[in-house]
Amino acid sequence: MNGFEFFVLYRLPYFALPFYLIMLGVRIWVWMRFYNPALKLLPRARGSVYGVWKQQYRPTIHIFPGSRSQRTEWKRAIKGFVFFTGLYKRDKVLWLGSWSLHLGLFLVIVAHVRVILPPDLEPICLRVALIGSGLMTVSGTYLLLRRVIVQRVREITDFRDYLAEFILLSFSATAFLVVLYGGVSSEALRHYVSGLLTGTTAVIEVQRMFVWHLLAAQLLLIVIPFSHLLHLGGIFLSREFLGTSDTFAGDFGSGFSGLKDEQDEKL
Amino acid sequence: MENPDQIEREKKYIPPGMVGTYMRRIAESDPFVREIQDEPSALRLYMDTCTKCGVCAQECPVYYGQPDKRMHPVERSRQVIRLYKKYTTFWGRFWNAIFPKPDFENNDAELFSERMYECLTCRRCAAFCPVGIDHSVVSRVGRSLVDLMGLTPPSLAQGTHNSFETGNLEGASPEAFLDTIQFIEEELREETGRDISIPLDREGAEIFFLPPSGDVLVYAENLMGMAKIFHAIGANWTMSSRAFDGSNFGFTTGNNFSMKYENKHYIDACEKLGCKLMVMGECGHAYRVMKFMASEGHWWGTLPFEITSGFEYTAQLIRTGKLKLDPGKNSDSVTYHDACQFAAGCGIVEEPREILKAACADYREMPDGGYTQWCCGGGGGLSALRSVRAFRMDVSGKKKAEQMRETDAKIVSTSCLQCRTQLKEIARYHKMPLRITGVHELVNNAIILE
Repeated sequence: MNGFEFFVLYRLPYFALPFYLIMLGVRIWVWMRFYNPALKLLPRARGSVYGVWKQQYRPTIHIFPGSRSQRTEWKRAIKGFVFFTGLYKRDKVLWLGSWSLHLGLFLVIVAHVRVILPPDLEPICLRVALIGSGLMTVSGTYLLLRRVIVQRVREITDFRDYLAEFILLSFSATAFLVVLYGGVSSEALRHYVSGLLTGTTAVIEVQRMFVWHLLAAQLLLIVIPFSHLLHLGGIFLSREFLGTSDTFAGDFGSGFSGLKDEQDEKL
Repeated sequence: MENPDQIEREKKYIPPGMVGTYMRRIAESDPFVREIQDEPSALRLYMDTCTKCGVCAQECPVYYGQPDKRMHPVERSRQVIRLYKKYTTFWGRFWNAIFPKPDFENNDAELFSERMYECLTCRRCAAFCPVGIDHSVVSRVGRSLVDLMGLTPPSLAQGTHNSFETGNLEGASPEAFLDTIQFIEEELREETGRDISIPLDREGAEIFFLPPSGDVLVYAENLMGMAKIFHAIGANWTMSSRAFDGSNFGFTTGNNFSMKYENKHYIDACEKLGCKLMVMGECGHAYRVMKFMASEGHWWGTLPFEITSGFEYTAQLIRTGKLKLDPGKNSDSVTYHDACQFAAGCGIVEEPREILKAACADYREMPDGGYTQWCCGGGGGLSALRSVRAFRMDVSGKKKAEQMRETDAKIVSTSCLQCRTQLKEIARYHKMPLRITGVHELVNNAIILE
């Protein structure tokens, strides 16, 4: 094991993971300080003891998207969140690219659960990881190429955006290659993770590609909080998430409907 | 090398530290209008969550007309967001301390001002953005900075001042208003042979009608239509001689203080007359501010009256059979252009269509109608600016001109003074033999008075 491998495997994780968690926490804290329309979906927030969330219930000023609807349903919200229905309606090719990228990422993360699963399930997990990383690589390549080729995307892209996407692509491509060429056994991974947790250098025999994969993953954790890759907060602004796309007029109508009924009576 | 003229220009307009103070104030919410809490969150979330996918540009009328970087919504918003970052975030302050940069690109505050007024604030971007980013909000923050620097285009600044001071855009006196009302009543008498009055300052009336800017002094047919409707159903209604011109230029120019106090004129007038329902005419800005900001945000406490738009009111009368219309009176083909503030801002999409279908023999849908409509190109106050006419005709209004041609209708009906002005100019500029009307103008033709 050379110095580079030692650094990536045994030293960098102690910086990358805490850094990611802290920066993500800071981001979420900052977002929560401001009014966020999606928080009305939380049933306990109104009048609850969660001081920060309580602040969100200042009177809604309808100045940017965000449903005022009382009818907003979780079903629609989850549909928008899981299937990106807003983007699907607008640009199906872009939807396919971005949705499969996220699906691939989800599968890759799920496949890592094999560390705590019985050894019988390992082959299935490896297949899931292969499919997930393959999906991510293909769709990530498409998105990166789109960024380079399409004028309206290229002209707002700067170096940091390319860098973030390149790291993401490296992460998925190395994951794909690691799995394709045999992968790393669950036992070795368990040994490695427990070594990290206990602060001991648990030496494991791994292929070189795994080191690159781990490097890409850790760089990704460092870059995410500062790049456009962290757009999680935006889903709370999405009309689709809030169920105001198809039923926009209807939702607003719900505000008016009472008035309309009253007018009917008056008339 | 920096241009000395530009530096001089910046010095002239911007006191040292003003931009930073303002951006920090935005971050902590504007002390004048504390209720407007969305601007900081919008800025913060927008700058954190934009994926730079370019969908907004695909849908932006301005970028459609001129697809270059300057017209890109993300690029425009970046001008504001970089100031916000520079003065209010840790990393922004940090980098600025090490590598200080001027507040505005090329040190040109006027260029910044021009760019903020290249956004139509139509919210089409927000309707399609996968994460719901509304660039109109960011542009509005930019405009409020422009306003603070005294660089708001003069015609808009004058309108804001007039509204704030007098309650109407033109700064017209109550006497001039009374004369006009008398003239309109005479017109109604000649046309119908009936005594259709337009009551003024009638205390205890049930309905307070607030016509949009321009309906009294320019497009009287809309007001005549409403007067006939109230007459037909025997409504106990009134108008005010003090607040007869619904608009909100403070909303357009980003002046929160003015936005709030312009709105107060109408509320005071309605409260003073003791009306139970405020029916607002065809002005999206005034209605959006009144209904969704002032009323729901309790700017002036809980209002003792309900608020509805003329569209909802008339559509309801048609639905319940209380209003009879003869579509044969409007036999020409008609299409409807959704005003951004009504459609994307207030969700009023179906009501104008219901009215037009009842009032016109041949109604045709405009492509992409509804809350994802394409702006006429004069939104966000641009139609009031003669100085950007070429931009409005060739760039921002390009898509709307194509759509108007596509529908092949003879009449384009719309619901906003700004849209009307812009559509008229587009028709003239592109040599289209079209008539541009308001919705209640067509009701005025078709109404059956029994």
